[in-house]
Order: sequence, then C-alpha cells, then structure tokens
Amino acid sequence: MRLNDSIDSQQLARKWKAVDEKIQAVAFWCDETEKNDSSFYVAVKDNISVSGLPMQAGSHILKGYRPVYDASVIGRLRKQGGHVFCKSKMDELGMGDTGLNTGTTPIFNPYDLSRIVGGSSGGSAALVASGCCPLALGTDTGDSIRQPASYTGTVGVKPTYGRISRYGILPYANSMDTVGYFTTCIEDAAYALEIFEGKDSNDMTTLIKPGGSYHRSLDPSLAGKKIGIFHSVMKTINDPVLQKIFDDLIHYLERKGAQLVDVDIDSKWLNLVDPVYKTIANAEACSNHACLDGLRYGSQPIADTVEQAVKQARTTGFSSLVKKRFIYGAYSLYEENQKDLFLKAQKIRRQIVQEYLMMLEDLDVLLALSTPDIAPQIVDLDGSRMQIESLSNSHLKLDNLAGTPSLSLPLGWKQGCPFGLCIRSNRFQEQKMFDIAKAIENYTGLAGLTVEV
Amino acid sequence: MDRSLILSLAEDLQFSLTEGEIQNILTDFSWVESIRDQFAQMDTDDVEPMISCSEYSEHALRLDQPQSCLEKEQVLENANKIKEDQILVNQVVRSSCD
Repeated sequence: MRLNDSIDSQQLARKWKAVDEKIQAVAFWCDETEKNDSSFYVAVKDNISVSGLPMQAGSHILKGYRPVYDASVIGRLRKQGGHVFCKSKMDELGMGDTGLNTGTTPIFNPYDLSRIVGGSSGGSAALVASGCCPLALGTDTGDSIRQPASYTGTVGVKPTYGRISRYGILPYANSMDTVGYFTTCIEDAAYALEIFEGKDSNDMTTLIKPGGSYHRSLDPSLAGKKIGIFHSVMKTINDPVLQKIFDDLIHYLERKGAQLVDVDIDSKWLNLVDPVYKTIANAEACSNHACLDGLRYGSQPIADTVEQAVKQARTTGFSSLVKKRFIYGAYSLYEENQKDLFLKAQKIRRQIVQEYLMMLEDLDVLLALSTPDIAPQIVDLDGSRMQIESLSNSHLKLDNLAGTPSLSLPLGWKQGCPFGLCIRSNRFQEQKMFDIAKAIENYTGLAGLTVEV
Repeated sequence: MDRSLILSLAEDLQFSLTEGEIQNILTDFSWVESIRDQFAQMDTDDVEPMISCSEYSEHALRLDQPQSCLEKEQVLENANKIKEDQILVNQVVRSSCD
C-alpha cells in the first residue's frame, strides 16, 4: 500500500481487524468516525501523544493515561490529510528490540507468525508490512525503527537528530531519541520527511535547516556516486544467502558506474558502540522515567503515605526487564561510579562519533546489512538477559550516538522472510540517502512490498 | 554489586524487587563490570563529554511567551473524576478514618 493508493475505507477497516487478530500489533483503535476515502491512514507508535487517545507505551505504569494534546508530528500529519487509525504496540517504554515485552500479548511477524517482529517500534512495522496502512510513525533510540523494518520488509527511516520535533513524545533516552517512520517505498519515505520535518518552537532540539523537497528531487542515478561498504560489519555476516545477495548488489552498483570503497573504523571504537549506547540509554531512561509515579494514572494504589503509594505503583507498573535497566542506569549515575561509567561513556561517545563522521565525510552513502539475519524465532530468544551485542547487531546504534540519518530498505529473502539493507549518510544529507535508496529499490523491485497475513 | 546495593538502588528508584529479579540482576552484573573494564582502557583525557548529538548545530530558543493551549472544559473532559469543577485525584494516602 502506498500513500496515493485509492482506498475503500469500509473494506480497509475490515482488513485492520482481521489482520490484527493474527499479528496483535494494535494497542488502541481510534474513533471510527474519522474514516474518509480521500485521506490516508497512519498507525502511530504508542509513545506518541494523540489528543484523546490512550497512550500507554507498553507499560502498566501509564494505564489510563490520555494525552490532552497532539504531538507536533500529529499536527503536521493532520494538515496533510493523514488520519490516525490506531496506536501501535511497542516494547515497554521503548526498551526492547523484540516486540515481545509489550505489557500484553507479543507482536507477531506478518511473514511468519512464529518469528519476532523486532522493536521497539514493532507494531508500526507489522501494520505497514501487512498492508494495513502506507505510513506508520515510530521512534528510534538505538535501532527501534530500522531493525523491525529489516525483519518486516518495510522501509524504516531514522532522520537526522533534530529534523523532526520530539514534542509530545514520551522520552526514553533524550540525547538519542529520534522520531521516524515506516513506508513501503522510497518515494513515500521521501515525501513523509517533507510532512514531518521542521523547526518546532516547542522542541529546542529541532534545528534550523532548510527543508528539502526530497520526493520531487529524487535522483536514482549511480554514476560517479561514492558508496562506502562498512567493512567490519560486513565481515561478520556469515550467512551465505545474505552475503551473496549483498555481493550481487555491490556488483550491480559498480556496473552502473558507482565508485565502491571499503571503509572502516578502528575496532577499538566499534567494540565500544554497544557498551557506550547502553550505559547512556539506561542512565537517561531511569532519570526520564522518575516522574512516572502511578498516582494520577496507572494502578493508583491506596497506601499509608504518598511514598508507599508511589513505590507500590512503580513495583507493579514496570516489568522486570525495565526495572533491571533502571537499576543499571542508577548504578552508573551513583556519584562514585559516574566518572568511570556515565561520564566516561559520554566522553567515549564523542570519540566514536568523531571517527564515524570522518568516515562518512567523504562518502555519498555508507552501506551494510541492517541485521545479520532474518527475524529470529520467538522460542529461540531469552529476553531477560543483558549482554554486549555483536557489531552486526549493534552498528545501527552509531547513528543514534552521532545523530546521523539512516534507513533500512528491503534487500532480499531467506526462508520466505525479508531482510534489509542499511543506507546512511552524513547529518542533513537525507537527499543523498534517498537517492541511492531509490536506485537500489529499482534494482530489487521491492517497492510497495506487503504480505497477506 | 551485592544484594544490599541492589536493594538500595531499588529504594532510590522507588520500587521493590522480587527474589527472582534480584538474582537476575546479580547474574547479569558482570555485564556492567565488563563495561567498566573496557572503558578504563580508553584514554579520554581532555575529551569533553558529549551530551547531545545536536550540539554542533545552531539552536534558537523561543521567546518565553505563555500561551493558552487548553480550555478548562477540555481538561475536565479528560479527567476520570470531577468535583466542583475541578479534577478529583484518586486518594492514594489512607486517611486516619479509613
């Protein structure tokens, strides 16, 4: 489904219900009176405020909360004729990459219901992949749009930090949180950035940069383009099916006149991407969510003191996984640990980002597979453990540390399931990213890809 | 990390942990220690902490002009309970009469 497809609202509404019975991607449905054949429908991740609709972000601590205002991105969407038809499910408070820790049922991958959809924006990804809507909003703090995009054969875009307002978004790790979206093709992805981007006086981290006419300016020519291949990431891809499809793409790009170069960053920095990300993300999360007291919404327990009531609400309101992340976050913020953990992570972040930006400086785009394989089977995962992830699983976080734009585009198939290619460019160079993505989409022929569930 | 430190952190964070959750945190704590070891090997002398990825770009602070954004009726419409034209917040502290 694409943005300019004509739709039959009644038929589409029946499809939404039928599909969601299988993939379990919807957190809350919107009032059906908004239906209109001339508009396009959008799923919105349940950490983005939509006036009057519940917002629970996959957590019991927010049960019963209804924002009384729209996030800035929702206002921009409405001005362009977009209608919100549902809030989509997500991993609790954005903390998770599986779509399993949603506070209710797991979200299932529309290509294979026994596999994860990814996360934390898994509900939005699944709804676009299954043809329920042409556009869905998500957020990406570590890889929360691009990883589920890879697992669901959708286009998942994380723009430059500051391109899109975060006003009205429930924060996770504010120095890296980025609003983005899913579509089924690059043309829609380019147009969607035009809808959402822009300076917002309610979010001082939005940046004054001229907006683009990305859709009209799409140029898929490859001749002379300088395209980097992220060597350290690709050398960890061991699967022969994925490797061959990537190699075939590289040969195609060379035949079309692009200049392909192997590029890299010293492994001493790459090995620290995941540790630095997790240290900062856990610390910012435990601070940002200190305000969730469960008194005005949530379980609202009755106790002898306010402190006891808050403690009861937070004990039952957060899952074990989230509590564990808060513990590690608080530990790294303890005065005696800050110098060695949180502060050190912020300093190493600067060093990593400097290396990364130097690598991107000379390139039009940088390529690597978004994920090392197709979506894992649900039964194979143990989501309760915390561990350092391999580079092939963690390299997407580089763009959150640096604030650079990055997208995942469907590239190929294995066992009937899709996997994606990550295309990234330097800050505010989204046009270059979309241009090369369009060329690659022409090669794969996967524009508009959806699956019948 | 030991059990007492975990309980102290949980107290600061205003939640309780089950015995299973404590054991799970203890089991995975080697993860945090391995990060500390990795960080210790890096020379960050004279490096400023990076607190935001937008620090290189130009910002414009908005003028501090209060704006009315919600009517009282809208706010009350969204409240679970209303008493005398005001939001009634659920009782969370047991009164001496309870």
